[in-house]
Amino acid sequence: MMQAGETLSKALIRLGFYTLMYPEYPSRIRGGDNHVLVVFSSEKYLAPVEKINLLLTFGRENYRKHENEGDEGFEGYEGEEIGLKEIAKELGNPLVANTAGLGFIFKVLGFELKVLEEQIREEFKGKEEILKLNLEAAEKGYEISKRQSKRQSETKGKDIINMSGNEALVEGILEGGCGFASIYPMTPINSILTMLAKSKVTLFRPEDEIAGMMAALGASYAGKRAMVATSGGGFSLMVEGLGMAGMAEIPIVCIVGQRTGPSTGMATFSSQADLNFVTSAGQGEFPRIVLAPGDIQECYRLGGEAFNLAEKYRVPVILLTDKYLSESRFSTDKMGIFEYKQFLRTLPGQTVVRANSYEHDEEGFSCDDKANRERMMKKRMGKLVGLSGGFEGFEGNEGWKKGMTLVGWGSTKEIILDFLKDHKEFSFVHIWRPWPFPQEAVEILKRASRIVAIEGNYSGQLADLIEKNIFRKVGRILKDNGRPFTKQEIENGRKNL
Amino acid sequence: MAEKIFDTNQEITWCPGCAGYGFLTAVKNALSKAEIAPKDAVMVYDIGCSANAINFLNVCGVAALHGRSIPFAVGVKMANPNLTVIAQGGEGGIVTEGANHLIHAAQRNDDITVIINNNFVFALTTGQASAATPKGLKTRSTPAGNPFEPLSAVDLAAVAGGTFIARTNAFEIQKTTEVILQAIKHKGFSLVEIIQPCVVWTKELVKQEGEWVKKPFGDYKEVLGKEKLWGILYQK
Repeated sequence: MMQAGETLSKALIRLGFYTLMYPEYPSRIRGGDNHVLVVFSSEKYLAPVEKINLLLTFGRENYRKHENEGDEGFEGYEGEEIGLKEIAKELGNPLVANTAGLGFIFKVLGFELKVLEEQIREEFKGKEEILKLNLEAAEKGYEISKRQSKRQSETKGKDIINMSGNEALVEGILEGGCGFASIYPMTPINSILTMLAKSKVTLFRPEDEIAGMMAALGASYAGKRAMVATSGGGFSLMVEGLGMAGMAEIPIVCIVGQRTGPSTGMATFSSQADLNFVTSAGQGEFPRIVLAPGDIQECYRLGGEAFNLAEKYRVPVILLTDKYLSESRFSTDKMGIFEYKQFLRTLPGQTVVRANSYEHDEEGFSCDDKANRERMMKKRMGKLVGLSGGFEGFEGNEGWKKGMTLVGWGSTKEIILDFLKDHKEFSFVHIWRPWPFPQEAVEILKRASRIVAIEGNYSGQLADLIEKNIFRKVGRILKDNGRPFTKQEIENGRKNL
Repeated sequence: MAEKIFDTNQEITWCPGCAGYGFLTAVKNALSKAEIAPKDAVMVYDIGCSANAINFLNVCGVAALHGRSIPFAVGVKMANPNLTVIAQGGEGGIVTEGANHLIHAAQRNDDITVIINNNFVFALTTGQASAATPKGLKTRSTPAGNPFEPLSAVDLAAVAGGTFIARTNAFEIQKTTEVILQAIKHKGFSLVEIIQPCVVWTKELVKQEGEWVKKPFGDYKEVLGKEKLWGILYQK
């Protein structure tokens, strides 16, 4: 199903549209209400929608689940009833029912079959037999609908990039010079593991996340740019190692793909509820950086930058994504810009280097001396003072001082930008580095007349953080049911403030 | 290479008569005989009395976390295979808090040496029973005697797939030196259990009698359950 959604997205991009593909699936290998939402538009910045125009399901039960989501002019089809299974049966491969479905959708939408065919050709390049089968299925599916209307496609030739958050992140990770990754499988970071397994990065699938974090610290100490990737549950196990990284000043990048908690929660659904957790995890006090990319450009840029920052400041860098950002596919016309920066440190093999989880002196020997402790705390805690950047501001028609200012972090970025298309009077601050909280953003927010945080959690964790920084109340539009925001929900939330 | 190169300027804080001195001397001797420079040896320590050797041994030292010296060491070795990597821990760290790491490193046959300093008790925290405390022993957490059969690092590593398994006694410095030397030369996972009862909390166990094996057994099953056998018990 994910593959069919991807093919459709990419075929629509060939027609010049921007697309968003959001997959939703239960925690089981096959079956269940496994679906993808594809949104396309001639304008960029797309949000999931509540009301759909076209529904195609496999199975009556799934049809009944989704038929009430229809917008005005809604068309719904059940795959078996329109003959998709029959086509697959004729062709002797049940899997091509999906491709037949794509052919059908293309006809209903009024697009030319040959564009879909081009995309299918690219996907099955070099696999002649399976390609032929899929082309036949697409054609037969296309012929089911007798509709003759033709829809104007966008001007072709636009260079639209289509990627999932995890794909963009992995590109950044590789550009950032990552040399070692410990990853214990967990939704939603599994595709990072499988992509890195095919790269030149030394990949370690540890016995648990405790070992994963410690091995990554060992690799970093020995000179590799090292990372872990997990979700909140795995990160819970990594916290003791995180503290060691803070104390021993070992650079480490931790990718935390948020999913619905607490505990096992809803394993395959999204969340933005781990901000408080990652900013405060670990006993004692130590500096850390928390990044929260909001789109694929930022996934790429911050995926690389995380390694520069970890090396530069010798601190843990936590990069928060979420299931929505990780596994959905987004479109953009240009990627972010990232530049690899080298930072030298002495390594084992060059000289005697110590790393110590105890308080220690400059040589790395364990030391309880009070003057030494005060000196070392001051050294560590002072490392990030003056860190600049961390946010992007979009000033509305009415300016910062007059109109309402929306604030979001992480994966809400494009959703809010889509919402702003109808609300040019609002300003928007997107925080891509929630910790340390961007000081320049504090200056803007202090001047703003009314601030509303939009977050995928129950309590408003960013809102709390802003309040702590500007000493004023912040309004909240919150959602915590595992699904991403839709434009309509932000509109309703705004009205109910 | 002179052993002195492995000395530091730090004060040794172990109790008088502690077997730790024997362990430290044997490690220095073995590194010296193997001609491994301090910059090329990484010793990853657990938490506990023996782990305080980070201050007493001049190699690349890492004071890791309780139970976690093995995974840190695995990462070091994967990142730079030219380094000689030793993970240290007491029986509290290696077979209690971090026993799963021991099993998995042995299963993967990771090319590191694990040294377990077995004093049969949590000593630094004032004498509570660990997973390797002998059955019946009265400790401060088992005043009526420890009800459990002890867990053996040697047995766990052997069953899980470790390819070099040894047990020595810290008071036998020359033999311990030789065993550690062979362990660090071994390609693959090596485990050296050093018996070193605590002079404060398990002093009734200090006088240990063991039988030194002449050559390693050919089958790992031969070493199981034989806690009085010392020397290189198994090598593949």
